Amino acid sequence: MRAAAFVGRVGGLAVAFGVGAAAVSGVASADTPPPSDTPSLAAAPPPTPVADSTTAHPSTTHPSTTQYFLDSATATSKRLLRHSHVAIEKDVAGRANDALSGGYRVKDLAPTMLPEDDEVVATGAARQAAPAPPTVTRIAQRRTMTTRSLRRIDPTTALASVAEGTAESTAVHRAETVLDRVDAAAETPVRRFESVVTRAADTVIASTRPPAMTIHAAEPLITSVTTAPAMVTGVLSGVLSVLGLSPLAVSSPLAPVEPAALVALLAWGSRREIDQSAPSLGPTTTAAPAITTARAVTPAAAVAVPATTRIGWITGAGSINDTERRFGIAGTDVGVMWDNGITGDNPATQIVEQREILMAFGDTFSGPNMTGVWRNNVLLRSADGVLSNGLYVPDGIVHDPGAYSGSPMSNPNFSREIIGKYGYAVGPEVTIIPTAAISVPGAGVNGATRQYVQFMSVRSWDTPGRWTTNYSGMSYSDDNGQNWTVVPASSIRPAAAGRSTMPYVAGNENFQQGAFVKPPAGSPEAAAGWVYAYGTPAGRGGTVYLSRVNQNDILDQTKYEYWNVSTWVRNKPSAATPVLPGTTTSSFFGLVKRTTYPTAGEMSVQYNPYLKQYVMLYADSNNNVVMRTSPTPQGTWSAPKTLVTSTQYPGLYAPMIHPWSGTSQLKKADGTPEDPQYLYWGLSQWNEYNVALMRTDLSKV
Amino acid sequence: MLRTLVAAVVAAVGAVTAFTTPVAGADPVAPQSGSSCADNLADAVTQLPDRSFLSCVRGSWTPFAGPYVSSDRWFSFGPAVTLHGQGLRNPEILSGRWIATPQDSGTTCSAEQAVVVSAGEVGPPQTSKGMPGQPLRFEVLPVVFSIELTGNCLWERIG
Repeated sequence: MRAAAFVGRVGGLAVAFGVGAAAVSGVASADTPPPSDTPSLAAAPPPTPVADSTTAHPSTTHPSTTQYFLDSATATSKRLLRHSHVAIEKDVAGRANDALSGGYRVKDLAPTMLPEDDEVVATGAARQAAPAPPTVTRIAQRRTMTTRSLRRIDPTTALASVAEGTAESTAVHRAETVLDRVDAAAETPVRRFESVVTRAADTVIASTRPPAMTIHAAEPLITSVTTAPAMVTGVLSGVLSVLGLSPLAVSSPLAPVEPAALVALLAWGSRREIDQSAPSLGPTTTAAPAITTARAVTPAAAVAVPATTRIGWITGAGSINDTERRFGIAGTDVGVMWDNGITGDNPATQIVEQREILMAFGDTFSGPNMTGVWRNNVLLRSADGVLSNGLYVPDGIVHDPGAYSGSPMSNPNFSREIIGKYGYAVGPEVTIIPTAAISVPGAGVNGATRQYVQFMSVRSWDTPGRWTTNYSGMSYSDDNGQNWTVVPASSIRPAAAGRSTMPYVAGNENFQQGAFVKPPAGSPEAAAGWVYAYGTPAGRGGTVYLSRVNQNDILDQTKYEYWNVSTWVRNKPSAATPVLPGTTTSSFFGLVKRTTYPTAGEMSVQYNPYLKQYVMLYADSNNNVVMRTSPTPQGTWSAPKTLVTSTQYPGLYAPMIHPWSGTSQLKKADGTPEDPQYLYWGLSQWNEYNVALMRTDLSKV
Repeated sequence: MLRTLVAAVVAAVGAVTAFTTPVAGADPVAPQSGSSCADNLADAVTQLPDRSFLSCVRGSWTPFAGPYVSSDRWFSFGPAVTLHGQGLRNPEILSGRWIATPQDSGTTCSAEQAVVVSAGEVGPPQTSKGMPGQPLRFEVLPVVFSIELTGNCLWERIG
């Protein structure tokens, strides 16, 4: 009966989506971002990573006020052109989506994704969340906002902002720029259409993998190979191979699947059927005996109903943000996301503050395949509250005086490095990678909201998934991530003796990478000002530890308390014990017991209002992204549930939760509240070397 | 007169050099997925011009399995194989002692590597070049950002 229904459903799907399948059958390699048509920046001289300072520019270099308003008028023309461009994109994107039923709609360019003014301080978050006004209205609003912003900005500062762009501040150059935009607007629809088709097909394929991956995810994460599951896996692989579907084994090469879309559609239908039966397969794949090994292991992950899809790329040439062209970011990874903590405009400041998500990325390259200009890290900002169609990053402003533009930049269309090297390493130091971040309102100078980033100083990259750190440390910013200051001794945690100018303290090797999380507003923990700071050793081979600190003492590691299963121990990192449930086994007739703990790669943790639980994402020992939940930061943490597998997304890592997930900050495209059960998160993939936006329906996990 | 004589000598030396120096033959045919590979290349990995990777498995070139390409045996068939070392995440080649063995008598194995000198900064390239037809022993440095292996050579990590 079920089989009959299954066949019928597949047939229906085949008919229903036949046209769409034909349309996308030629894009089997949709996972690969479309090649950039933008010349590589590799040959360009590296921009000097200069910290922004609005007071660092001699007034003698400022253009006249007349020049400033001339530029502003030109800028208005640019915006009008951009809006025309956007309108064209919307039309093309809409048609593409109509042709690709079943795929996610690309960013439909509701007002939330219109680029922010790139000549003035960015605007308020409330406007981001407002229902979509017509484009013309939006422009009128922008003009009003421009006036307001100019009024709010100190004239000296405003002039300084113009002076920053002296090289391109002449009217002639502006005219050329406008003409360039016209040319670009004419060319863009074609490119965007290609991109739309590719992304939509990508989503279809990504969301139509056979159930095999889920079954595989349920295998015990024990190093010992067991015969029975292997046989089952082999048989299923064979059957699936006969049907032309992907094999089960994670380590097996992915066979080309053609025509991709047609097979994907069929697989989608079959997946939905088999998913319903998947739990019954669980015992089969989890029947292997638990064998203790020296390495940390992860308990078998429960089979989760596939509820996770890729919305689209955040970074890369083929992303919604076209970051190669707009930010000089052809490849990057990690993308730690955090709320900047700004809940409204502070009238005491010269700038117009707004609530945003800040995203800190790791090694960043301007050219494809890790070529071009290399930065250890970059920062992107976004106030986009409509994530169902992608996460949009507005344009960056060179030396942005308001510090709310899309990215800190010192050159046009080129994000600069935010955290440099600070001399705490002894010996090799190859890069500085952000691993965690959080904001604390009022902690900065003059009551500013302070942004904190925890980073790791990498000594060397070892075999895949493993690396060695010199130390972890903290950096902070009081201007929304525009300029960063590394803390002296108080935050530096050497991973071992001899790797840093600072002394090694036992236990700090377990806090080389981290995740910050705040307790929910209104809770006693929040009232007490606690911030929880998780830690792992360097690489993906260690387990999770927990500390907490008052939000006013984040920079001082001596003020941290460490969870040791039953209580908090102050200023003793070695007291920290693993917080994820371990597996205890005994040998020698029960005389020897050994407990092993799950390994966690590049985790993130957030409190989720929908679940009313803390949610932790990380890559497990099989390199699948799993989720655990807990009522408290210290646990007890649930068993892991697999969200996506490395078969679905080869080379995945660094699942970073979007902190607005489940909150009223998120809206649908029509302005109504987003469904609270959606968990949005970023995911890096190695081959693409970029970060994508993912969405998990928590009601189905 | 003197100028003519010098020119003649230079030309003669050039001609002698040209005829006595072993000339590397044309680059071997690039491996293709499914084509055969020699027994001595077992488990070696090669990089194609499109930056895809093949490994020599049971006598035939097979697409590399897995997202993280890394090996202690590399095969360059002529054009440069460009790899990342331990100066970047998921290194394709590890530091240590390596030996390159020419696969024909006329080939010269050459490795050009650039290391990370400080966070985010890459130093100038350093070249290790063998003699035609002779093995090349060299060190892959600890935090190599990128390394180019050229020549029709098998590269093996020996320590």
